[in-house]
Amino acid sequence: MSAETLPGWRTAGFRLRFPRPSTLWHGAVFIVVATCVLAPLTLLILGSLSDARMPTDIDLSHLSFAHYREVWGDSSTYALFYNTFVYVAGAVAVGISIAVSLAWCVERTDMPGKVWIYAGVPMTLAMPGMLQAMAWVLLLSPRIGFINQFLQGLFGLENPPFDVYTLPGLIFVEGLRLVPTAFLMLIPLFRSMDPTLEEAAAMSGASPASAVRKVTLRLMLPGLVAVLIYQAVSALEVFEVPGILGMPAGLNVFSTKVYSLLHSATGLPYYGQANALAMLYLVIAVGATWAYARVIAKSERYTIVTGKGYRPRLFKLGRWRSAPAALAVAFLIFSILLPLLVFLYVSFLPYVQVPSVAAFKSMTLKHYVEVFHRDLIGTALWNTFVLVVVASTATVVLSFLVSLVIVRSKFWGRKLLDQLAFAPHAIPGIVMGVAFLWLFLQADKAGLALYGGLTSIAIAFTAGYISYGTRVMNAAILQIHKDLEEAAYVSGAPHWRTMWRIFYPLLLPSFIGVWIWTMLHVVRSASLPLILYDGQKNQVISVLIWNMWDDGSIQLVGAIGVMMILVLLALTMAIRVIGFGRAPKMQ
Amino acid sequence: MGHSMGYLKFAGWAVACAMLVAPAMSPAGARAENLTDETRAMLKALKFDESMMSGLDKELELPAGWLDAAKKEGTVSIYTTMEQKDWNKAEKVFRARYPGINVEHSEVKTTTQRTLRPLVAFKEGRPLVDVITGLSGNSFLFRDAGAFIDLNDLPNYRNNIPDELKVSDNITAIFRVRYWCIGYNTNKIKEADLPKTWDDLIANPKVWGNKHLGLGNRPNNWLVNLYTVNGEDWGRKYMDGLFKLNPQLRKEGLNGLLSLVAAGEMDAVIPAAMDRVAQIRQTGAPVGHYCPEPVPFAVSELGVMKNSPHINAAKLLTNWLMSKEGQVALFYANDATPAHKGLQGKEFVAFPEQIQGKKKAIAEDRDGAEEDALLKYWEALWLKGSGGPSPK
Repeated sequence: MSAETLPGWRTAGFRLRFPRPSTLWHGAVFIVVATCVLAPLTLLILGSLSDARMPTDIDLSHLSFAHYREVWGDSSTYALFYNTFVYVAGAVAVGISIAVSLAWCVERTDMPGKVWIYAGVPMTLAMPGMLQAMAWVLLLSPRIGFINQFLQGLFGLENPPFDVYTLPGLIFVEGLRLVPTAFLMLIPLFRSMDPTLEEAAAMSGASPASAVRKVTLRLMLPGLVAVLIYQAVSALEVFEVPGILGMPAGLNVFSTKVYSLLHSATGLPYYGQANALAMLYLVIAVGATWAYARVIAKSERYTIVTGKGYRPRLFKLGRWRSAPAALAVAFLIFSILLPLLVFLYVSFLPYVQVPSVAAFKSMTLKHYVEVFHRDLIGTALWNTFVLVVVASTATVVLSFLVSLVIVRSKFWGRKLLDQLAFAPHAIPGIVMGVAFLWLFLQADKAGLALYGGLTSIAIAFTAGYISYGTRVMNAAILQIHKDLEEAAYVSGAPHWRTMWRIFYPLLLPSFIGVWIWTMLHVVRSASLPLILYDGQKNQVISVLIWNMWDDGSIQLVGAIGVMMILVLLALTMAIRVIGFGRAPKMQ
Repeated sequence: MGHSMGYLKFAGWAVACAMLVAPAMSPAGARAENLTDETRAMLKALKFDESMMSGLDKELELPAGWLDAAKKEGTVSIYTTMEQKDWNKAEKVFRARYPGINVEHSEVKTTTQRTLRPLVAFKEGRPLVDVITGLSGNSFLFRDAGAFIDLNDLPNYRNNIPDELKVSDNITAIFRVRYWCIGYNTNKIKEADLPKTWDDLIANPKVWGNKHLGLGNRPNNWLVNLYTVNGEDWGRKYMDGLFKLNPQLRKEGLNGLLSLVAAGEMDAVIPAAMDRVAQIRQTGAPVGHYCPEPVPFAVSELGVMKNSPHINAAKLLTNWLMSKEGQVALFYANDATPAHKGLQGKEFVAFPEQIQGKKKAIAEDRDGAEEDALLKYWEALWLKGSGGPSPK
């Protein structure tokens, strides 16, 4: 009898049921995940009801809906809805359009240079959204934007042609940021599509465009909708881009409004209102995730992914063969090259100024020298390294254990565990940050000094990223046939040996994939550590960059940004070369 | 009327100080003080005469047992808003004065972090930090919690800080002052367009309107002071007028805003600290500092935690920070204008012409209900300006 067919609980009449020692860890995993997800959310809800100005002063006898009335009763909240809706819808439309085009071209056409797109597009994950937004201020601000100044000079324009401090500006920058993840999610969809349906359409006389519209896109619709919802939730949760580009123009979305309430001029944050607002946000995000789960569940009906081995038919682009390559190059220029160049430029300036002969004459290396002489930068780099290792490893380990329970056990709460593990994806980083802030302050009260340190940030990141980790692990574990484990058990191998000899080698690519994904997101993300860190000793690089920008050290941000982008690019490239060395064969 | 009286008292105090300080600053009034090598080096770097430190020995006389007890404790922790590299300069002078006492400095950027966690720890009876600076109007929280000691037994608080800058219960002390006015891009704003009074600014939307002006979310640095002088009605009307100019409401910190002014992203910013403008100007950036009348004069407060396990070392450090040596060290570290009665010369002010002969505005009711009401009014306008619900 295989391990998973043994009941986890003995049943004998009315006797109490005790878990078998070997399945005790199922319960432990459940408790860990439930604590990580439900405890902060419970405090978030309590905080939204509490009239205490400080999180530690919650009194259960002083709960009311006053903050909800304030938030709901204010007409300007509905302006937030509008802004957020337009921003998210626009960003997703831009991001998905570019990603679909690129993914379709590399998978379904005979375009040249596919390997460069396979390698190049995911590399843009290395560009943190925060740096991207800062770079676009310097490029497209109506007052100092270098591109605007250049075009005004070139064509004698009276007004700047672009304004990044607008909803289209936000949509453009966030849309670019969404492309690499959407691209990575769409590739398997295109790759695993059964070509016989398209061929049947072609045989029936449909033109290629008609076949794409009536067959390809319709077949892909459930998968596409799933990617769309996933990306919409991602755009909802991002704070960095609207924080830098939206707030100066008074264009607030939910995440920036929560931030504003937490950074009050009157000293103490308006936690109650921030929490009440975050609850609305949470409902929207949970609704989107529910829709995502429904779409995923129904997608099986369309059976576009089968176990058959085949290669889809490639569309011949003819004289348009270079067009996709041009699109990819344009994307890489906007996503990486231009931000990198602008940071390179400002990193050499004594103060920020538009390009001119005088500016080039005044260039200095002092900011690069300062990078190596500032203790805080070294501390932040070390903290980031520690955080990356701890959070990424913890995410991989916890995701694996959770998926093992979900896929391979008969644990009573495995479905609930699956939902709990996926729930954090619905919770925006800034909301998660507030929720964990309340949790850790309560823990502080209880004598557990978690708040402010790297441990607290690592816990919050791990809780947030297991949603992605478990999706990957669930799929990977499902692909390992049970016969392999059973053979190991029959041969007398203990659990740990089965794990080590069967699961570990087969799941290694998934482990590495989740680890890298988490690493890149931990390095890029500022919204969560900004709320949870306390003191310079606990700064990570994203927080340091944010604070430096805030503090006016734009040139230093440029120097660090250049180095950070180059290191991350080298890292992602190395990983691709080492881990996916067979990429050229994909052509 | 009480507010105007406060201003008059301050003006009188400043004149009296200048008269008292002048003889002490002259070579004839100088006498050799027990200066450390670090202090000498600091004065040399600042091109200050050693006579500036006259009376230091007396200032550094401590009540019996303090120094030994402090040395026994060995460490003192402090939260400030200063960058570590700046703080290190001041700390070096302190260490030379009091060897054997280690200072654990933390640059704590946000008000929440400087306030919330120490208060939570205090309420739970756990010591977290000994000295907190940059209280930004949150001292009432520490007062309510009874978290700060009475500083009246610190000789330099009693003797060196002007009475007008003290709070009645002496739980916080002013250790530095700043002039917060307008930072502007000299290529974008003509001198003729600079407003004589604050009211002139909101009356000229052509120059200051339509995103030409940037605002930082720190009304307590300047507007509260002006309100103290001009009254509540004026304060509210002024805020209405200011927000009608359609300024850029930026999330960046005040120093970040100055860099954006230098870059030309906005023509001017309020509030801008005089010393910070001077620092950016030194890089060659086209920035200037201008103060309409009255000049907002803001203070930085510090407090010593009651449950500090290093209470003697904390008192020693705080007392030193309010001595001439400590005050000059802070100026040396990051151009902090001293609060010390005896250090009110123009060498401590980056743009003396901007304050000389002008009325100054101090916020008297730094912690009170009036300021709270004003800040809430600001908060509502700020959040409305960015399309969200306003706190009630």
